[in-house]
Amino acid sequence: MAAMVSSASGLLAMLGEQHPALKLHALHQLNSLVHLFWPEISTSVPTIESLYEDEEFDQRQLAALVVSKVFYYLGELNDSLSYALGAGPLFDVSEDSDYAHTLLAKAIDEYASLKSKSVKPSDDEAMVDPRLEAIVERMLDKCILDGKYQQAMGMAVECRRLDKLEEAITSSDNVHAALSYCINLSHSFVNHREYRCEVLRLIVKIYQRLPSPDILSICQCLMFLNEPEAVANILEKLLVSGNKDEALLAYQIAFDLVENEHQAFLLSVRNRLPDPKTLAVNRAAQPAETIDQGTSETSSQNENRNAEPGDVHMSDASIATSSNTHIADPNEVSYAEKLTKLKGILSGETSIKLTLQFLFSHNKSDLLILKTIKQSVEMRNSVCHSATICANALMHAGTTVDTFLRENLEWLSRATNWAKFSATAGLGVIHRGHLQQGRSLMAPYLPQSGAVGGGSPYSEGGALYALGLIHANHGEGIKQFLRDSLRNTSDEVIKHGACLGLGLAALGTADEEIYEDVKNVLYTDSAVASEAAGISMGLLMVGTASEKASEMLAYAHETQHEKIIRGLALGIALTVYGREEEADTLIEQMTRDQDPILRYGGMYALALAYRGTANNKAIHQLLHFAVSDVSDDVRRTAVLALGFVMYSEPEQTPRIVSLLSESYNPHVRYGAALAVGISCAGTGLSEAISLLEPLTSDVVDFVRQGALIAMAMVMIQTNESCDSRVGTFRRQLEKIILDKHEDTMSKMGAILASGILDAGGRNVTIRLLSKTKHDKITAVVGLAVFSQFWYWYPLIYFISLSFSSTAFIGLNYDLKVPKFEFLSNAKPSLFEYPRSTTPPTSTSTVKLPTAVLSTTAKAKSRAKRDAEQKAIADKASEKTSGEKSTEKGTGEDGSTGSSSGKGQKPSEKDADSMQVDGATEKKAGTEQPFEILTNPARVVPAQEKYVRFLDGSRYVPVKLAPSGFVLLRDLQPTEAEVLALTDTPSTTPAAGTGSTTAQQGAAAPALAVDDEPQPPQPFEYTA
Amino acid sequence: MDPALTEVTQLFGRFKAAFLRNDFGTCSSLLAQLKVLLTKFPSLPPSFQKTPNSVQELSIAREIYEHAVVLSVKTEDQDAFERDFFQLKPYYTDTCGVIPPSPQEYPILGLNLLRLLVQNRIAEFHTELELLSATVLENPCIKHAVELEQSFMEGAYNRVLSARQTVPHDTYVYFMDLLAKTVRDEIAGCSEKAYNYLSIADAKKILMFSSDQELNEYITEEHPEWEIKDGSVFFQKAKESQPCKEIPSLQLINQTLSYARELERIV
Repeated sequence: MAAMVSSASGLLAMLGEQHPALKLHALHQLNSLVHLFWPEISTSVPTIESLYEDEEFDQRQLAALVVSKVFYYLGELNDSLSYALGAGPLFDVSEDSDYAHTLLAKAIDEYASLKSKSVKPSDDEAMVDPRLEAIVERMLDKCILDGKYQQAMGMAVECRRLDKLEEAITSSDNVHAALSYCINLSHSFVNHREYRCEVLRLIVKIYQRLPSPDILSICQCLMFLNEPEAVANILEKLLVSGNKDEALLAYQIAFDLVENEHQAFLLSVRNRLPDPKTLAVNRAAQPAETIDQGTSETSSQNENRNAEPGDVHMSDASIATSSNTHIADPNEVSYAEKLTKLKGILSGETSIKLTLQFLFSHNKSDLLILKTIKQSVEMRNSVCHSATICANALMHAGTTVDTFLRENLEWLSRATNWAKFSATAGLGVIHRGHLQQGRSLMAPYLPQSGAVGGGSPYSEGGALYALGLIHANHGEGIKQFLRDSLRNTSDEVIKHGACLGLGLAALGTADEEIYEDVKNVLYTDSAVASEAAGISMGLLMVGTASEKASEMLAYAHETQHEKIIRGLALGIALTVYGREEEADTLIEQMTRDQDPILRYGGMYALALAYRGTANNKAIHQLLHFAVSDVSDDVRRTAVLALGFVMYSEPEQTPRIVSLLSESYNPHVRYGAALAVGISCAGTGLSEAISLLEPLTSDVVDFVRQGALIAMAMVMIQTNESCDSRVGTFRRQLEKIILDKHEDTMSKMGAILASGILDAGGRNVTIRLLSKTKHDKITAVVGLAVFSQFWYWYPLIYFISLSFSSTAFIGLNYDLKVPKFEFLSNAKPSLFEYPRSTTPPTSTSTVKLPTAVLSTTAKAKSRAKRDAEQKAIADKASEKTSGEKSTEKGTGEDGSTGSSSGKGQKPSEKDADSMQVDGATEKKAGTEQPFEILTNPARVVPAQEKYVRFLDGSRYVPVKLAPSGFVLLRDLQPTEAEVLALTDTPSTTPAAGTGSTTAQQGAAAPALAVDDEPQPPQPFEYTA
Repeated sequence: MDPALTEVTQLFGRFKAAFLRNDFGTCSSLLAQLKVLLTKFPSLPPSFQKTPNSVQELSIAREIYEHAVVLSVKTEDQDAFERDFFQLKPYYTDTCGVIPPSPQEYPILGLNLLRLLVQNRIAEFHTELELLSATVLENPCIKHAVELEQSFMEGAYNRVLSARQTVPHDTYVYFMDLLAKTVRDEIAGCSEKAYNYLSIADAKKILMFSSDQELNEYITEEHPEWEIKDGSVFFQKAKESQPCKEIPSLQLINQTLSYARELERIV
C-alpha cells in the first residue's frame, strides 16, 4: 500500500509550469526527495538554476538549496558551496546530514584558506564573502551554545577568528582545560609563526584575567613569544611574596623554562631579575666566596658570578655570615636567597648538576658489550677502532664513568691523528655537564699556553672540542678560555677543535666578538679549520636569521674548498633555525644554487627552519628534491631532512618515507633510514622498526650503517619485553660486530648503534621536544650536525646534545633531593634496564666451531691480559679508596645488582634496597603489576603514563609531571628531611680536593708527556 | 466530503464541459487553477500520504492530468504535452493497488511514444518501451507506435505515411501529421549524404513535395546551405567543411618529454 514515487520526472516537469505556486510546490518536493533522485534532477539543474537567477521568483533561496544539494551529490563541492551560500538561512548548519556536514567542512576550509591568504599581502578583508563568513559564524556560535568548545576553538583558530576563540575559551566550563587545549592546538596546528604568536598572546591575555592563573602555562607561552620581561616580572612577584609555595612555583617555572634549552631567552630573564648583590646582603661574603672556588674562571668571574653553582650551595653559609655583619631584614635575606637559587636554576646549572648526579648514580652501562666489541674489532682498522671509542663515549655520556678507557690505555693509544682528536673529544661526551671541573678534567690535553710542544695538536684540538661538548649551551664560564686558545694557536687542527668548542659553548648567543674571531679563522681559507669555523658560526647564530648568513653565503661562493663550503652550508642552515616562513628567501636562494653542496645546505635550512612543524609546503619541497635533484648528496639530505620536519608527528614519518626507503638509489634509502631514526628517536614506534628492519640487511654497506644507527635511535630505552625486536636487534648487532667478513661501514654502524642503544648509562633518550612540546634547540641542532658525520666522523659526538635523561627528580625547597616514593602502575619488567650480558654467552659466541684463527687467538690472549689487568686495577682501586668498585659488580658478577656509585653510605643503601626489591620480585616469578619508584628515579618516556603519585605521602608535587624536575611541597616542614642523592661529583670541600687531585693527575702525564700519544689519564675525581 | 475535493470536482466539471465545447482557452485557465489546487492534496505523488480521501483525490488528479494531456494535443502544444505527461506518469506507475487502472492509460502511453518518434528521440522511445510489459505491447495503441518505429527505422517511409489511415485514436492524427515532417527531415538528411546533387524533379519526388514552390520553401527554411542551380539541388556545400586534421606534433613532443622526465624521477 505504501506507494513510493519512482521518478522525479513529474516534479521536474512541474517546474516548467507557468504558475509560480506550482514551481514552488515542485521545488519543495524536490528538496525533500533530492537524496533519492539527484541523478534525474542533475539533468534539469539548469532549469532550477534559472529559477534561482530569476529576480522575480520569490523562493530563489530554495532553488539554490536544491541546486546545492544536487551538486553535492555530484561531488562538485565548490559549486555546491556557492549555491549553499545563495541559499542563505535555508542552509541549516545544525542539520545532521552528510550534506550539511560536508558543506560545513568545505565552507570552513574555504573561509580558513581565504583568511590565511588575506593576512599575507595586505588586509584585504573585503575578499571574504560575507555570506561565507555568516555561515562560519553561525557554526561557531552553535558549537559554543552546544558546549562543543574544543570544536569551536579548533575552528576559530583555523579561521583566524581570535574574537571567536576568546569567546569560546571564556564561555567554556573549564577555562583551564580549554586554554591548555588551545596551547596544544597552537603548537601542533598553527603553521604560521606570526599567527601562532597572536594566538599565544591572546591566551596569555585570557590567563591573566583569570582569578587563579596557571602561571606555569603563562610562562611557557611567554617564552614562546620571547618576552623575557614578563617572565621575569612574574618570577619576581612570586619570590617577593615570601610564601614558600610560591617560591616553589617559581623554581618549577624556572626548571620548565630551562628544559626548553633556549639559552638566549634564559639569559635575558636572568639579567632582568634584580641582582642579589645589589640587595647588599651578600656583599660582604660574595667576593671571598668567588675567589674561593673561582680558581679556574678568573676572567669571566664578573659576568658569571651569579650563575656559578657554587652560589647555590654557599648561599646559606654566606647569608649566615652576612646576617651577622649587616643586621639585615630577614625578609630581604630570604628574598635574596631565593633569588640566588632561582638564578642558579635559570642558568641551567642546577639541573645539569642534578642530571649529572642522577646519571652517575644510576649508570647501568654494560661494559661487557664494549669488551666484546673491542675484542672483535681488528686493531688496525682505525674506523672501527675509533667507532668503538665513540660507542664507549656515547654509552657513558654524561655519567663521568671512564672505567673502560682507564682499563684499556694501551689499546686506546692506537688512536692517532684525527682518531686521537675524536678519542679526546669523547671524554667531553663522557663528562658532559661536568661544568665545574670540566676544565681540570681536560687539563692534561689542553694546549698549555707557553709550554712548548705539549701534546699533539690532535689531542689538544680534541680537548677544546671536548670542552665545548661539556659546556654545550652553558658556556658562560669557558667561552673566554676557548677564545684565547683559538687566538693563540696557528695549528689548524687546534683551530678546528676550538671553533667547534666555541660554537657549542656559545650556542645561539649571537656573540659578536666570538663571531669575529671565528670569522677570522674562516677567512684563513684552510680547509680543516674553516670548515669548523663555518659550522661554528652557524652554531653561534642559531635561529637568529641574522644578516650574517649572506656574508657566509658570499664566502661559500668564493672559496675553492668543498669542506669549507659544506661547513658554511650547514652553518647558514643553522642560522634560520625555527624561522619558518622568514627563511624562505634564503632557502630559495640556496636550493636554486648551482653548487650541489649549497643545495645540500638548503635542505638543511628547510629542515631546520621548519623543524617539527610538519609543514606541508616544506615536506612537499623536500620530497621534490628527494626525487628530482641530480646530486645524490642533495637527495640523501632531502630525505633525511624530512625527519627533522616531521619529528613532532613521529607516527607520520614511516608512512611518508616508506616508498623512498625502497628506492633504487642507496643514498635515498640511507636518507629514509635516518629520517625515521631522527623523527622517531626514542619512541620505539613499531612502524618505524618495521620500516628499518629490511634496511639493516640492505645490499649496500652504508645503507646498513644508516639503518643500524637509526634503529638504535628508535629503540633507545626500549627493552625486550616492550618489543621483542629489540632483542633481535641486539643480537644482530653482536653478529655484525663479530662477523669478520662484514664491511667496515656497516660494522662501524653496528658499533655506533650499540653505543646509542645504551647511551648515557641507559638512562637517557633522544628527545627533540620538551614536555611542553617546545622544540629543544640544542637537541635538534645536535642531531643536525650529527647527521653530518657522513663526511666527518668527529661530528658524531654532537648526538650527545640530543640526549636527555629520563628521570623523575623531585626537589624540595632547598633544591635538594628528598626521599620520596611514587608509583609506576605497570609491570616492572616492561621498563626495567635490559639485562646485562653475561660473560659465558659472549665467549661462546666467539668460540665458533670453525678453525681458530691466529687473530682470534690473539684476541683471546689479549682478553685474558685485559681481564688480569682489570682485576689488578680493581684490587688497587679497592685498596686505595676502600670502596667497592661498581664496575666490578656489574662487569664480573653479571647480576642486576647494585649500581650506585661510590659515595656516602646511607644513599647507597637506599638505591641498593630499591634495586634489590626489583630483583627479588623478578626472581619470585609472579610479577607485581606495579612498582614503587624512589626519587630520583628512571622513568622512561613510555612509562610516563603509568606514573601515579601516592596519596598521603609527605611531599606533594607542585606540578603533576611524570618526569623531569618536579618541585615537591613538604607537608610536614617541621620534621627532618631524609635526603637521597647526595653522593656526587659535588662542589663542596670535595670539589677542592677533586680539582687538586685532577691537577696532580694532570701533572703526572705532563712529565711523562713524550711517552706516547696521550691516553686519558687515570684521574681521580673523588666523589 | 472534503471541501477542497469538492471544489476540485466542481472546477473539473466546468473544465470537462468546456473541453467538450472545444473551448480550449477556458480549458487552459481552468486547468491552471486545478493544478494549483491539486498541490494541496497530500495524497498525491510524490508524498503519497494516506488520507481518507486519497482514492478520490488520486483518481480525480489522474483524470485531470489525462485531460490535460489530451488538451495539449488538441492545442498542438508539445511542451505542455510533455509536462503534463510526466506529471501524469507517476499515477500510472506508482499507484497500482491504490486506484484501479485507467482506461485512458494505454492510449496516452501510445501518444507519448508517438511524440517521441515525432521528435526523433529514439533512445527515449526505447527506454519507455522497456518499461512496458509484453502483454501491454499487444495493446493496439502501443502496437501502432511500435510498428511505426520499426518502419521508420527500416526506412519504409511509405508505410509510415500510410499508417495515418489506421490510427487507433483520433488524437493520434495530430502527431501523424507531424511525423510526415519528421520523415521528410530524415530523407533530406540521407539525400544530403548520398548525393552530390539531385534534379529538382527527383528531389521533389523523394521529399514528397507536390510542387516546386513547396520544395523551395522547405529548402530556404530548413536547409539554407543547399543550392539550387541549373535545375538541380546541390548538397555540396555541406560536405565541404571537412576540417583537415593536423598532427599535433608539438603537443606530442611535449608529452613524450614529460614522460621521460617522470621516468627519471621514479625512485
